[in-house]
Order: sequence, then C-alpha cells, then structure tokens
Amino acid sequence: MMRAIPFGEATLAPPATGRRTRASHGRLRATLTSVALGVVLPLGVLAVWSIAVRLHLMRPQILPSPITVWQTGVDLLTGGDLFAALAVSLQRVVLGLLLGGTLGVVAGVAMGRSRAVDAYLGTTLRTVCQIPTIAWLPFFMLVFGIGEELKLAVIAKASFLPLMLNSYAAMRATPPRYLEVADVLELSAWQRLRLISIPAALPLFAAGVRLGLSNAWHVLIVVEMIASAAGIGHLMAWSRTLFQLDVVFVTIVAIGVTGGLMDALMRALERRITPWSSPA
Amino acid sequence: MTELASLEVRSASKSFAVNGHHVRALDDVSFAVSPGEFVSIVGPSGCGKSTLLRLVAGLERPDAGEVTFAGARVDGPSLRRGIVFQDHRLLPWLTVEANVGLGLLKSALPDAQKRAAARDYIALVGLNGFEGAYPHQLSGGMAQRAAIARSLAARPQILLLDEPLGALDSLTRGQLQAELLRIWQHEGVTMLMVTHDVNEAVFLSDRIVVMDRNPGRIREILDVNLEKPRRRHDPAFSATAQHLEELLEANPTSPPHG
Amino acid sequence: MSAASLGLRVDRRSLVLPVVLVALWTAASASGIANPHVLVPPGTLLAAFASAVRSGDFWTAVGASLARFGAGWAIGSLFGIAVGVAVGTYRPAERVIAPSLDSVRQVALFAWIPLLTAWFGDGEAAKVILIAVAAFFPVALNTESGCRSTPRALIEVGRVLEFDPWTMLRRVVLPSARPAISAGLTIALTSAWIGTIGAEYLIDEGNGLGVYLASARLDSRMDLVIVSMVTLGAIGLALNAGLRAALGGRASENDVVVTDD
Repeated sequence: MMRAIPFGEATLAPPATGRRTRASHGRLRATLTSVALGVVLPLGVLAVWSIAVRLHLMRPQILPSPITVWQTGVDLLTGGDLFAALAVSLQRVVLGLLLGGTLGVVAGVAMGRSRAVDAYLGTTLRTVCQIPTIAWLPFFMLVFGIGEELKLAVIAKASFLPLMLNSYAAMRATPPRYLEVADVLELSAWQRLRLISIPAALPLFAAGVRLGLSNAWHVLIVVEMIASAAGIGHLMAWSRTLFQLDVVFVTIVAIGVTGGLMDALMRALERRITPWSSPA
Repeated sequence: MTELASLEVRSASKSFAVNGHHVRALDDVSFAVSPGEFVSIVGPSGCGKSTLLRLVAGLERPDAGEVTFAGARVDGPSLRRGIVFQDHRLLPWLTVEANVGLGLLKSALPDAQKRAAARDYIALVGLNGFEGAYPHQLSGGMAQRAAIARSLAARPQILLLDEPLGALDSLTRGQLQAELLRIWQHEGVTMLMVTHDVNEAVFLSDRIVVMDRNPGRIREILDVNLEKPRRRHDPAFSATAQHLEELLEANPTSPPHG
Repeated sequence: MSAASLGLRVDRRSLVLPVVLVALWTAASASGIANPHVLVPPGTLLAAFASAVRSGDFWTAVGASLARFGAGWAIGSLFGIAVGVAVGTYRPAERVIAPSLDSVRQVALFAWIPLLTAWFGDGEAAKVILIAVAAFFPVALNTESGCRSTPRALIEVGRVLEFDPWTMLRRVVLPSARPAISAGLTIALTSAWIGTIGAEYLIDEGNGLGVYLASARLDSRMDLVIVSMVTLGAIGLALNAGLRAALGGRASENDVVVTDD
C-alpha cells in the first residue's frame, strides 16, 4: 500500500500522447515476436495434419483435410448455422447463470454475514456440491425430462457453487482496518455497506461470476450433447453421428473460442469494475 | 471554529494476551493534553505508544483507569477524535475527493458546500489537481496527505496521528513534517502524535511524552519551548534531540520488575 | 475412537437441515403426492444401497472406473509435470507452447469426446485419453506456476555454485515447486475423476460406474441413480483425502493454487 518513492511526488502516469516514441516501436516489435512464436506450434500441427491427410494415414472420414474444415467453417459461419447454434446455447447459459448465480449469491452472502446461517446450511450445501455436476445429470433428467427445464436446472446447479463460495468469501473479506476507519468516521450501517463492505467484496464477487460462467458453459456443452435438439453441443454430437468430422472440428473451435472470449470479456469487466485490484 | 477541548488520561492500564503470556502494554499511564497543543509520544518499539493512542481514539478500552475528552469518558471511536493511521487506509475504490468527502458525510451541510469543503482540505494538504485520482495512483506521501485531509474535513477537536510518516522515505518525511506543522498552525487543531523519530518529535511538538516499555510507562514529559518553525541545526534543537535520545537509550530492556 | 479424537468437530446445527429434509422426504413419499419413481422413498433407497453393496456387478463397475481413473490420472499428470516444468523454466518453451495450451484449455473437456470416439472407437483408449487430458491441465498449470515462482535468490545461489541446468532443476526448482505440484496433482484428482465418470457416461460402453449410472437412468431407476451419485461423490472425497495424506500434510495457505477455471 505505502510505497516509498525516492523522487518527487508526482507519480500519476503521464498523459497519453499520440506520438509514437522509440519505446512504443520496441513494444510493437516485442508483440510481433510473441505472436510469431505463439503460432509456431499451431503451424507445426497444421503441417503434420496436412501430411497425414496427404499420406492417408487415417480414413478421410475421420480425418478431414484442413482445407475441408476451413471451408466447412466458412460455410457454417456465413450460413448462420453456427451463430444460430451459439445463440441457443448462450441464451441457456445466461438464464441458468442468472438463476443459479442469484441463488448462490444469496446463499453465500447469508452465510457470510451470519454465523448461524452458515452453521445450519454450510455443511449440507458443501457436501451436496461435492458431487460433480455431471453426476447430477441423470438425476435431473429423471426429474425434469429432457426439455429446457433440464438445461436450466443443470446450468443453475453448475453456477451455484462458484458464486456461493465467492460471495461467502467476499462477505468475509472486508479488511478490519477499513472497518476501523468506518468506526472513526461514525458511518451508519447503510453507509458501511455501501462504501466499504460492497466495494471490498466486488473483486471476489466478480471472479465468482467469471468462474460460474465458465462452469456453466462447460456443463451446457455436455447436456446439449446428449439431451438437446439445438445448440452448439447438439450440433457437435449430431455431426459426429453423421461422421461429418469437419463440422465436429469447427464446433470444437467454436466452443473454445466462445469460451475464451467470454472469459476474456469477464476479466476485462473485472478490471474495469475493480481497477484497484488486479484479478488473479 | 470547532471548540477545542482537553484530553485527560488517568491511570490507564492495558494488557494483552500474546501466545499465552500476559503482556502489560500500558501500566498506570497518566497525562493531559491542553487544547491547541501539539504533543508527541515517543518510545522504543513495544512501549505501548500505539496502544495508548488507540485508547484515546476509542478503538480499544483500558483495563483500568480512564480516558476523558471534553469532560466525557471516551467510550468508542468518534469523529471528534480524528485519527490518521500509519497505513493511510484510504478506500481504494474511491477517488481522493470522495475519500476526503467521507469525513463530511455526517455534517449537516448541503452537498455543494460539502464538495467545496472537501476541495478546500485537499488544497490545504497540497493535493490540488489530484481530486480525481485513485489511491493506487498516488505515492505514499500523497496518500498520507489525503488521509490527513479526510480526518481534518470532519473538523475534529483533536487529531491523533499513529506514526503517520513511518512508512515514508526520509525525503518525503521531511517534507511532510513541514506540511504537518503548517497545517497545525493553520487549523489550530490539538494534535497527539506517536512517532519513533526523535527529530520529528522535536520539530513538531510543544511537549514530548517519553515512554518506557516492559511495562509501558511514562518515563518523562519534556517541554519543548523553542519557537516554531524550528530549525534542525539550531543548537537548542540539537540539544533537545540529544537529550531525548539519551532518555530513550537509557531505557533498560530488562524484564519487568515487581 | 470417538469423533473428537479424530479431530472432527461436528456442529450440531449443521445436522438440522439434513434431518429436516429427510423427514420431509419421508413424509412426502409416504403421503403419495409425489411420483414414487422420482421421489424414491427412503426405504427403497436404503434397500437399493444394500443390494448394490452386496452385488458383485456394482463393485466390478467401481473397480473398472478406478482402474481407468488411475491410468488416466497418472498419464495426464506425467505429461503435465513435464510440460509444466518446460514452460515454467524455459522462457522460449513458454512463448511457443503457452498460447496453444491456453487455447486448447478453453475447449470444454467433454467436447473432445465426439472426436476421440471417432478416432479411437468406444473402447478404453478414448476414455483414458480423456481422463488424461482432464488431469493434464491442472497439473501443467500448477507446475508451471510453481517452477516460475522459484525465488530469484535461490536461482542466483545455483548460478554462483555453477549448477548445470539439470542440477538446477533437481536441486533448486523442483524442490521449490513441490507444494505447487502437489496442489496441482490434488486438483487433478477431482478433474480426472469427473472426467472418468463423464467419459463412461457419455461413451456408455463397457464397464464402469458411469456406465452403471447411464443404465440406471435409462431404466428410470432413480434409486440406483442416487446410489451411484453418492458413491462417486464419496470416492471423490476419499481420493482427495488419500492423496493429501500421501503427499504429507495439508497444503499450506502460502501455496499458490491455480485452478483450471
């Protein structure tokens, strides 16, 4: 917190100017080098892949050529199929996250603030959550069938735990030294909540949302693979049945990219909301 | 102008349990601070000076004895007794202006006046231009100034300072000592400061409370009758500083007796 | 050996909720308002537990799962440590490998199954590979983190003592990274166990707890579904506790734990 700066008092970052300095040229070069090194491995894999296809090392049915995959990818993108499938999936994720996440936050905050609530609920909740979401799938399927409720239930369950844990931790995370400041400043209970407890809890809470989203996305894929007629997971499973491996490849990439983008977005959001703490 | 009041500490004692041992942080400590004074508390580490300050602040309660301020017993923390901590404790998610504004939350002024008052205090501590900055963008010295502004904004009757400059490098510390003196002269607020820096104490204080440790007791209370602002190279200054150092060095580190 | 001597403190309040739930459950199924196939009466459930315990099939399935799990976890961890060490100690390796690794990590684990079954069929290979992948990432991430955070001070000592890279690794980096590697291996247990059940469930072929679970669902046997759920949850816990004990002591708070989120 307190840094001993041996020179001057002004340590605010100098205002950004439009001029390119020598420093920024160096940074540009560094970035390009990083990118170049980063693509070495994928290019290598691509090369091996092309050679394998050329040499017919695997049946073309199960190892389509890179060009075919690329072409299929472009077709699915421009044709709108990919986006349609993703839209369905994302919608489910968002709804489930809202449901499970809200429940998780309520539970976490309640347990974090009240030792009594924690004592009554904590152990049970944590034990139940020991059972991985995927194991809940058959249970939910027997209870809800295979409609939209199933997806909602599964995703809600998957997002519940990270948000509960993180909200719980967030509630307990207010450093006591800030509470002393609140004492001296004679802040009211509401002011304490608004000015100290909630902002102090934000970083952990934001991380919880990010984790919940990630969990939800991973779980949704599985549900869609086995119990859905729409969505990206279904697209993947269906094209697998038809031995359209090129589509399978494209869906793998789509799932990875979407997951990665959502994660990056969440991290950026975290940084914006909590500029004073760097997300882990 | 806030009405100043006097502080009285009467036979205060405080013990802590540390690893199963009973540590007498303060043993029968008594002293008084008159309105408008600048008093420093110095002593070796572990002599209970921070504990003493926290008793005055109301963040701790004495096991025996009492602390009275403005005639009433100190029962808990209050805006009337502002405190500046060694770690500035600015809320990291608020700007400098918002942080200083915290000191004004309880005042009955309309919002526009509160904002103006906050700006005034920010200017007083020499931070104008940085109202919109966040604590993590400030240097240690600047952050500490903002913390001082926050405490002053509440117009306390006494300002407590717990080694406020302890975490700063010596250059910044020197600058801030001059600032503190200027602020004290400008505002006229009673100040009670804990420090381990002998020169700092002599530079700023009207009186210096010298403490012993094991158990924490007052050894002597020095009067510093030099005119302010004081010059560190003045022979009188050096003499006082030396005397103070001798008092501190003479502190035996032997185990408690009796 | 009382609970207290085991170091377990059971807050009685935590038992209130389960007891209440069981009571409600018993009442609900006794009153017949719920579908007995979905809300299985406690008696039926206990009977199912008993018969499963006595049944050889159940234990064979559990054994098969554990075997698969063990193989996958071991293979994945081995690769994970190797890659983690490489990326965590050798900067060029990091710059080449890390971006690809991070991208592949983004793909949901079970999304690999269609591809794996297309290439390797429904047999053991696909399942074990999936489990290995599940174990790989936590181990790699934590190993990398552990190696990378070897204190500069110790590395400098190694340089002064003119350690060759192999000795540096063996004497400085790996011992320093040991807590992180242990943490990674522990997390990988959970990931790999989930991967095991998932792979078996989704591929639904051969023997295993996941297959057992899938059949139970197909037959709408809620009682067997719950038995399987509880069993696999318990096994997960036991694996965790077992490894912790084997690795010696709980992870301290100072260990950096990187979870594959």
